[in-house]
Amino acid sequence: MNDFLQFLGEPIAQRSLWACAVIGFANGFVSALVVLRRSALQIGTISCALLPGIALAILFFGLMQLSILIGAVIAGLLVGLGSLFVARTSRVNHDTALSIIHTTGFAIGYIILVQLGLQQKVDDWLFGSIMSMSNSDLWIAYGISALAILSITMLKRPLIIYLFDPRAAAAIGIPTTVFSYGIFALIILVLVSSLQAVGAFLTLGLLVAPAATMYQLTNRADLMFWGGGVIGAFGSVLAFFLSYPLGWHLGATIIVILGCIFLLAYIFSPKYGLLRAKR
Amino acid sequence: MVSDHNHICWGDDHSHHHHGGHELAVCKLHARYGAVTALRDISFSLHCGHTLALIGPNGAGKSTLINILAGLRKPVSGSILWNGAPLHHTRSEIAYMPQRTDVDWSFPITVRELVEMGRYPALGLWGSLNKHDCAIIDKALDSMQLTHLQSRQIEELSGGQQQRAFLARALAQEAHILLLDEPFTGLDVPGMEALAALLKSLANEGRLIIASHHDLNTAPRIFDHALLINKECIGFGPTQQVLTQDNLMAAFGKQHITATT
Repeated sequence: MNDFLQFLGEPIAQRSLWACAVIGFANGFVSALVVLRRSALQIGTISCALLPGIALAILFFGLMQLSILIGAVIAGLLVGLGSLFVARTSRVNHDTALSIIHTTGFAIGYIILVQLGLQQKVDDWLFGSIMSMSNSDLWIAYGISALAILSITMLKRPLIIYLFDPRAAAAIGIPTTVFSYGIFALIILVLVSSLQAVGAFLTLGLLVAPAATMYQLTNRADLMFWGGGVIGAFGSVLAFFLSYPLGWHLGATIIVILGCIFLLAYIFSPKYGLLRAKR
Repeated sequence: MVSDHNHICWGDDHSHHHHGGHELAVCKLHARYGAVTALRDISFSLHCGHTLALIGPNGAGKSTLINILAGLRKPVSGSILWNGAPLHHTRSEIAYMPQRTDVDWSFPITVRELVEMGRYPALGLWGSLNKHDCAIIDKALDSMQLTHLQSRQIEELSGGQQQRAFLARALAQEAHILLLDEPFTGLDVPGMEALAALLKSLANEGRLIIASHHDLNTAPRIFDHALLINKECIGFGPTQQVLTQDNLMAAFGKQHITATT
């Protein structure tokens, strides 16, 4: 226990704690978009597809935070839009196209990273490592979080109409095409910010579980955003305090905690839970 | 009180006239999907106070026309005028009601929040609901008999109540034109009659109701006007006069003969 208290005094521990809280909150907040849009699996494939973009960016521009960010954004856009394009111009449907493109991209990215001798780093990107986040990483994560929360809060009213009823939204003049690309871009940015915290494989959990938990508990769309943020932050901070004494991997612990919180809501939610009053 | 500019014109069905119009005029509408013509030379005009059925076989362009009227698609050429000005300059004048199957009923939203959405064109991005808006929302809920259900999640309503909730959203928008996508699909006979009466009373208050409809037998009972199309306009006018054997043959061909016998 003393060990742990001493560890908490270290600047790196305090920084990680902040990172957990902020990234957890932003991801939880944005997860409402993913859940209300019913696009969880799509986002999952895109998060894995970020790897080749990162690998290529390192190959061409070296190992820099900015190049990694840009590579990830470009890869996300290419896979997202590329799969739409393949689906429209061939017989295969969108899910099939997405599966092929993201696995192929992931394989290419893995080969490049191993060739570059960055195998050690690969683990960090797949499963995350908050402790190794640099100052600039943190600032980028804070910036993306602020952007996500601000833009969603400011556009909340048309956004909820769009998510619920896109055709009626278009009919009353809400720019739905801008919204659908904007949401996509925002989700990719948030994915990139959480990549270092929980990694490409696990980031989907952080971007789905918090709002899915709220979905079990509330009938108010705006509560899904704020409640999702609180659950994401709470789960991440709790994981931080548990992972050190238990010796568990932090990113994985975050996802396990969020999964458990969802399970509790799934079973005990007064209105929609498994054990709701059946008389 | 509702401002004069946005008023819904109260009055009787046919004795109903306005100086400036309140007239929807569709002129020479063409639409295309790639190389395939979806609509050719569609023209009709109608004053508010009427109920209009869009009738035609599958693939005749009913939903294309609905989409164009709702502003979801652009026509290749042609114009849609409302009181002489392009309809899509005043988007709030038209309220769109989706098909039942297109709605995500488990979305976390209450009946009242759904109706509040109708105020968006008036409120814009950041305006907050004031007394006037709340009064309109209360009135819309009340006239659709949903006041006691307003805090329910929309999935907890019956089918008829769900439809009334969407109509209440259109009322809260103070839209003159209500555009409904196959509203009678999947309703039983009492449900159909209730909705038909409701649409009629909304038209009598001075709204223009436009709905795609696939049941030739019920159309004359529900709608006073019909537009029969199959890519192009085959007939337009009072429902009975449009749905003649000749016109139906022209629109449906042999499919019609097998369907009605």
